[in-house]
Amino acid sequence: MQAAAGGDMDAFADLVRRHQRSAWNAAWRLLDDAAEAEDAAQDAFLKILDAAPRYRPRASFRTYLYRVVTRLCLDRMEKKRPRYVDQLPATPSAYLGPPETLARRESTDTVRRALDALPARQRAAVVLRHYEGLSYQEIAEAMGVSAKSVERLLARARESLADRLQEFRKE
Amino acid sequence: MSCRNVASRLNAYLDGELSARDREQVEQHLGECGRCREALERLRAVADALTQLPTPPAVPEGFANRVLARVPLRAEPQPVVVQLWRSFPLARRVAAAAALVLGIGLGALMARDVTRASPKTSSAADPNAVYRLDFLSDAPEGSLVDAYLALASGANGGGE
Repeated sequence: MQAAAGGDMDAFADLVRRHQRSAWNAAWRLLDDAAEAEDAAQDAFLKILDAAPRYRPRASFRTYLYRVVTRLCLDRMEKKRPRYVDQLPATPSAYLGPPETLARRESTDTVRRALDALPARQRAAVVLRHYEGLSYQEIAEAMGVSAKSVERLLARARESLADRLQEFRKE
Repeated sequence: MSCRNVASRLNAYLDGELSARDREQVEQHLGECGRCREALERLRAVADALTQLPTPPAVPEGFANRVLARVPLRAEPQPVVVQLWRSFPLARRVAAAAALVLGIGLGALMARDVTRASPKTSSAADPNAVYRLDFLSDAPEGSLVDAYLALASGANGGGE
């Protein structure tokens, strides 16, 4: 990071290659859209390059990266029109991996719809906790809130997910 | 611990974020309270359901190259002063800008006061005396210096 701050583009390229997976995964989970996720992840690295001269390592670089990616994604999520559950596509995401049974597909789609229906900040807390495996403190740093707020966001998100999953399964 | 306290800590318990002492207290309560156990199971069911989502696809091919391709487009060299200015934290930049605005404002106020306090006659003063041009008074008539003195006196005196 220090080398990149000094204008060493090889060091910056190395940084991008080493951390692109984390940035892409988080952005894809948060935005649920490949094109937008790529834009956000690219913007995150460019923002990090811009801020490199002022970078002071307080936590790990990975936590810093999540902070930049999360904030960019939250901006995008909050600017987007709210997605109502009944407007979500009935078919699951194109990235399903190996063929699944119909029951499995329906179940996956149900979870995805429930997650998509969460408010942006609750969704971000869930993604960072469940899929990126961040601790409350790391999520707090990524989202610019306290660890206590993360606990509350997760509690509200899981309560809402439990209700929605039950509701969707009844449909 | 009461049910209310336990309910507020169940998420942290599930995520392994409680201290050993708090975890022990929650577990003790869970051993005695069916309703709180049910609440915990509900949270576990959500966590299990979330594992059903597919893993993200691989990073798009050429991603790193596309990031690097955007760098030269943006990285136009900036003057050292701008780089230095940008290297200061925002709070310092705001404070410096505020000090500059305050300085200019005070300067303007002081200049106004000085102008008001100055005698009106100053503009009518003889420039030869003001600028100490007396030593040029011996210049021969028709010389460049003589023309300059005439011009200075005329401009100041409004065509006297």
